[in-house]
Amino acid sequence: MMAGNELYVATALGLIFIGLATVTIKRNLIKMVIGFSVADTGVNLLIVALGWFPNRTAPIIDDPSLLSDRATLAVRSAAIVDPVPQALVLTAIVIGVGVTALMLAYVIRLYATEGSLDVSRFGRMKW
Amino acid sequence: MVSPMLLIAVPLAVAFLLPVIDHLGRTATRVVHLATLAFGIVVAGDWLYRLAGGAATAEILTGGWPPPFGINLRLGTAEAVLVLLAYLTAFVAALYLADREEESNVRGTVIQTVLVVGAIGLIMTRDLFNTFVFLEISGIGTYALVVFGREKSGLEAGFKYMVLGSVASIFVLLGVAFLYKLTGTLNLDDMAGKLSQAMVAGSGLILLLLLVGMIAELKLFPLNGPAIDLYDGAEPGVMALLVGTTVNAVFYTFAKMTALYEGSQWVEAITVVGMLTFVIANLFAIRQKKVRRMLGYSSSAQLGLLVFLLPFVRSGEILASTVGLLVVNHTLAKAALLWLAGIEGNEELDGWRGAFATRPLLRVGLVVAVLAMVGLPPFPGFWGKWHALVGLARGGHPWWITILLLGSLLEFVYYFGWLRRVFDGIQERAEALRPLKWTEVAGVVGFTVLLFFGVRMLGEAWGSVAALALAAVGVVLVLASVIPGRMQAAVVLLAVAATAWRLWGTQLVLSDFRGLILTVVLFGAMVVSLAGLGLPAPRKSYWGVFLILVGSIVAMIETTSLLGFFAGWEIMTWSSYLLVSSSQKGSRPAFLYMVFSGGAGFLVLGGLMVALGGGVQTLAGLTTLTGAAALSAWALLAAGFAVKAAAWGAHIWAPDAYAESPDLFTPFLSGVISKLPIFGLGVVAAAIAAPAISYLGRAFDPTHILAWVGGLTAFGMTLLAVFQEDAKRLLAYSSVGQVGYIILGLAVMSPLGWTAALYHVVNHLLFKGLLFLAVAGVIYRVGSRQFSSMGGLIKRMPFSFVSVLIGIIALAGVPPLSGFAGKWLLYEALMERGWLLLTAFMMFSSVIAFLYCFRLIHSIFLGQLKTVHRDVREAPWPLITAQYLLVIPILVLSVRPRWLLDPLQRLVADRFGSSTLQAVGDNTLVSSFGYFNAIAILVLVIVLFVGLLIFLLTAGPRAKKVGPLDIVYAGEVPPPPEELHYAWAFFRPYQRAFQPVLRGAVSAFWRDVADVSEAIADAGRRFYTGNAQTYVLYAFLLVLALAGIGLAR
Repeated sequence: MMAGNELYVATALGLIFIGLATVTIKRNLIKMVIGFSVADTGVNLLIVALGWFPNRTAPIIDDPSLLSDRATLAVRSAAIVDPVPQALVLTAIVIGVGVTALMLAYVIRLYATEGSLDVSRFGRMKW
Repeated sequence: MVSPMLLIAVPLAVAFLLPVIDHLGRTATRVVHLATLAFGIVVAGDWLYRLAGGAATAEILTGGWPPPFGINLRLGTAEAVLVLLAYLTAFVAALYLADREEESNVRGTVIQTVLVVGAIGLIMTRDLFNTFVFLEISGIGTYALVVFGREKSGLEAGFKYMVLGSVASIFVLLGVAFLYKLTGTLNLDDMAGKLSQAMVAGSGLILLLLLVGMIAELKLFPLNGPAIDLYDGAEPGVMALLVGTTVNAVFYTFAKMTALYEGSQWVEAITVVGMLTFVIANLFAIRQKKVRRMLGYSSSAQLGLLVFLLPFVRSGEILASTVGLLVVNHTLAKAALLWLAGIEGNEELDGWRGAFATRPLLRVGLVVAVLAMVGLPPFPGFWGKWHALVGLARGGHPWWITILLLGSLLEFVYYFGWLRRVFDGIQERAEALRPLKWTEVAGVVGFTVLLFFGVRMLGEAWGSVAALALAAVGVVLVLASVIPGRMQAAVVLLAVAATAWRLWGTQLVLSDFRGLILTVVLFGAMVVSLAGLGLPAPRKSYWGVFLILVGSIVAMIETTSLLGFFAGWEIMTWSSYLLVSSSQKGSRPAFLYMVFSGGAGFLVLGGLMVALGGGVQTLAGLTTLTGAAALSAWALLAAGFAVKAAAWGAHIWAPDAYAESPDLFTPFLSGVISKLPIFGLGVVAAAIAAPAISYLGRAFDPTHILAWVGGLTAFGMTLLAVFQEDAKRLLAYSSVGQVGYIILGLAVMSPLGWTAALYHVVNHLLFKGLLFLAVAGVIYRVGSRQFSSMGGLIKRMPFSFVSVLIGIIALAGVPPLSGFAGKWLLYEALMERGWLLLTAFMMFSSVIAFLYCFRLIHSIFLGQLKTVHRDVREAPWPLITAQYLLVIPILVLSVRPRWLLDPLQRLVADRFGSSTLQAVGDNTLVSSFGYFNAIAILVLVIVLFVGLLIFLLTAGPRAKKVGPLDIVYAGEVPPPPEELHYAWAFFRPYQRAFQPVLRGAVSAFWRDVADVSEAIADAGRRFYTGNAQTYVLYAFLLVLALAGIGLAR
């Protein structure tokens, strides 16, 4: 796909696959939540990996003199990684935490009603 | 002008401040919450007003960066409408939930506010990642709010919803990330431009991931299972809030995203998934036994319809405002229905028998919301659907139109099935109910009133002041239910008379098809409302709805546009449905009436769409249609009108609808409503009959089919009428049969045939109205419709007897009364056309008609008077007056048929040129087959019968009178009392003879149709297994399936 980050992309896709497979196959509610967490991590890793390029630096201006030296700034700018995916991932991680917490809260209350963590016990509403 | 940014910022800030404010007390929380929402309503309303007035769309740049560097939000007209709708729903929903402790405590209030923030953000943002964030905010808010209150069911539904929602958000996020990588931007508009500039290979799969994620978020088939559970399990008030906020916002988000899909292989997938959802969800809904689950299926179906239309909006075939009308309609109607479901509280459909019996306001709300939901005028959904269909017709998509109409018919089945239960037993249920607070009702009332903004479009479509005025007075009468029924009937009488007065001489002319039908309608309405002075109104809203009905018919006749015609037709359908259902046992027949009328309406609509697709706008323009378009339009229209006329094959709704209608309404149903399909055939369908016939060439004449349908109807219904034991059912079958004669006459397509048919239209109104009114009087006094509980009433009700006598002579088509001229003309027309077999067939059925005519007078008025009826009085005077208003024209026409035939001849000459019928002198008509002199025949018959009477009275021994008490029972056990009646099973020998043709094959056929569709629905809905993991699996399978189809192309 792109030079240098195949390993990250492959790992990320693997994590997403493992996570979603867990969600689909494991009947235990807690394990399903873990599956979602793993898949979320995979997605986050993927986004970061997509924005990463080898041999480039962080998008931070570390030398104030650059601000006046436009020409050098332009050259340096071409050698930074894209900051946007990292910003996105920050947000996605926060959302992921919220969703996981809410899901666990659901699990606690579901367990309280049925005394079981088996997902197939919670399918009374159908058709 | 307030910055639109505050529409998001203010509720967001308030959401986080509320826990602090709550320390001041619950009241403070509520006041701040409601004030925030009110602020939103005012700001959004102000913006909408400005934007509608031509103000520029507001663009908000965050952080001062222009797109694509900064995130930008937009507030245009579409956004303003949706934002206003979201705030409105949230406001009323907050009122509704105020009494639900869990949802209205501080946590619940915070989440309610967060949901609004999420929705507004989704609507306004133009940034894809921002979209994802707001999607998650809305999602988390939904997951959290649905578990409040209803412990177990909400919990299970919420969890399933969350599982699928989380999978969907992973898909969406993946899609967004890859799209960013591909285009280097997150701004929607920027991205769309870059994508279409270079549809880079590989973007197909990325767009697919996003699409499947959005299908789950939009609750479309096959990923709608958890959403339907949510409707089933969560508090309806919460669901109403979601419909107005999150659901619309997610839909609009997807609408924005369609820009990305332009030119990709997934456009068709969007169309197909949308339409599949519409049809499948509506199909599965017909088997639901729970109200809220049914509403869930309905919501999914509506979303499917909206998504289906999106690609056509992109391609410019359908206007965005058309979709907007459907969105607004769905939001208002569905939210109102959900609140009503919450107020009633009964989860089972069957528990809704007689719901809101003592709460007329809520019942009106329920009926209005259902009418709006299924897309009937004047509510916004009708106009939305109409314009959407026109767009599809112009774009050349007849199959999509067909499927869409089929899905809509399914919608009729379950929504009116619901109303059937509500109307059923409405008389008996009057227990004390818990007192309602105004906060609970505010939403239903407010949203019902808002739905009436569609009336504006009705005014434009009709352009008939008289019709609108009549309907407006009708609405007032519905609301002013405190006015006693008979006074309401007087108001109706005055209103109709005033209309007739205004149109007198200009439109009320017999020599014009419209004028003729208009005369029939207004005269019929006056006679019936006059009779209404003497009978109690079947329901408090009866006369109001009746006036709406009359108004819609007037509009239908006066309008020149196809849209105006169809709007009138549909209002006529639902208002007459409400009137049929207003009697004690009327709910079930009314349901059948509505489903068949709905089917008829959709056939007519299909025909009109063919015409509109051919560029025709007005009724007059129909004649310009040619070729295949003319033929298919004619066939659809003729079929639709035939179903509505209860022609053989689609007649099964009619007998029950006629028999169980209120006695006051049956004369109108039979005399007037049944003539409207004739109006349709004569004015709409006949306009394109000629090109349709010429398209097929000499090989085959399509009107021949129509003729046989009419003939079969006339014969079959007449035969069935003979064996009825119920006075109204007998007349019902007879009415349908008579309409068969009229269809047959029109189908001849010759001057003579049309003259015969139209003459019969007037005549049938007169004698059938007379008979139904006379029978209504008898039923009112005797208290039964069965022949076995009548008899010998000639002495007690002599005026009614004379009415029935005149009525049946006219009906039988024998000299000396007016019916004879009609029959004579019809036979001549058939022979002239060379349809001899049909002529013989019709003569045979005319003879059969004698049999039931005899029963009518014999069983009711002759024979022995029952002891219990010794003190029965004559029918109330208004009823008798109304009857004699009909007797007079019958007698006049009998002596001077030319007074009607001459204008009819002129009418027909306009269309066909002059007829072969000629008049000689005042009384004599000459045709190619012979002549007919009304006076001569009258004199002949009178002489003959008076002679016979004198002979019977003088010759032979004097008869001894036998009273009912002269009979001696000799120790045997008597059979059921009705079998002892002298008129019981009077024609049993004939019945045995005709057994093979009376087996009810047609009703069996329709029962099979119903059973098979229910069985399919029942098997199909098992697709939703209830297991969260299955639903996740469906999402993966959908990706695979779409990828397989899409990438193979």
